[in-house]
Amino acid sequence: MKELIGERVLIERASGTEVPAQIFRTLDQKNFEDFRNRWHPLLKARRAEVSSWESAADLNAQDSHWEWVEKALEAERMMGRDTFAVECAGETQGLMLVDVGFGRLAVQRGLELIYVELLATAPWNRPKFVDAPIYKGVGRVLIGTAISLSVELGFNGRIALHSLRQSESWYRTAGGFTDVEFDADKRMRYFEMTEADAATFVSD
Amino acid sequence: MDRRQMTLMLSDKEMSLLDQLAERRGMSKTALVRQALRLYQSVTERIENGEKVFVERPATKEKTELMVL
Repeated sequence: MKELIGERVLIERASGTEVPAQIFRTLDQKNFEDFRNRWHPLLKARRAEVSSWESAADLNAQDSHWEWVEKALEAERMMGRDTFAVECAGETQGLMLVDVGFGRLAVQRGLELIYVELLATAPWNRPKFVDAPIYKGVGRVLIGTAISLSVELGFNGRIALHSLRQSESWYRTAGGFTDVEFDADKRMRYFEMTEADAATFVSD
Repeated sequence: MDRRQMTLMLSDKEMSLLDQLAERRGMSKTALVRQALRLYQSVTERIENGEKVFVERPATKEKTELMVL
């Protein structure tokens, strides 16, 4: 069942003002409808402008095929999986699906961590996707939520993810992750955040 | 998230294993039991869906099927 787990702020880019946002655990019908009716048509239209998935990175639209509703419903049955939404101004501004995985970095090899399977901000918040993105900070709020979950489950803040090419630079710089390796199986770069990285991220 | 409490009776050997694993993995015993449940559910669901779960030796790529007893 959907549960309010925290309040944060996003930055409205045009005015530079802070706007209240809510973080929810477990997606509900409202999030599904926002995805189906608001996100998906925009993602599909942008993706259709380019011929390949690779070049969709230039438009920040490489996730246009992600099936959020199906994934979220599947996650409800599994104890290790969780979904989260960031809402602001009555709309879903970000979505995240997490699972439990194991570390690859030498310092935490084999130790449990939160693996961020999917993370996306609403299309209207994305640079390159729109000329004037609306809110900034959705990704940061969701990564902070993954860290909090990691702490709650006893994993001390450790998290990891595979990044789409369009997001690699964010995870490497602003996200505070370690760029571990190119994962040939997934054809994506793999990033991890250590306990120390997580503490730095939270304190910033 | 709502929490419910239960009492878990373990043998000395089981408790010793729980202590050791919790220490090795840097987790509380409660967190370790929750993680064991997650893994058990994940493996059980996959096997019930007709999938096979393998453990692979990285050096030799030798695979051993994981059996749930």
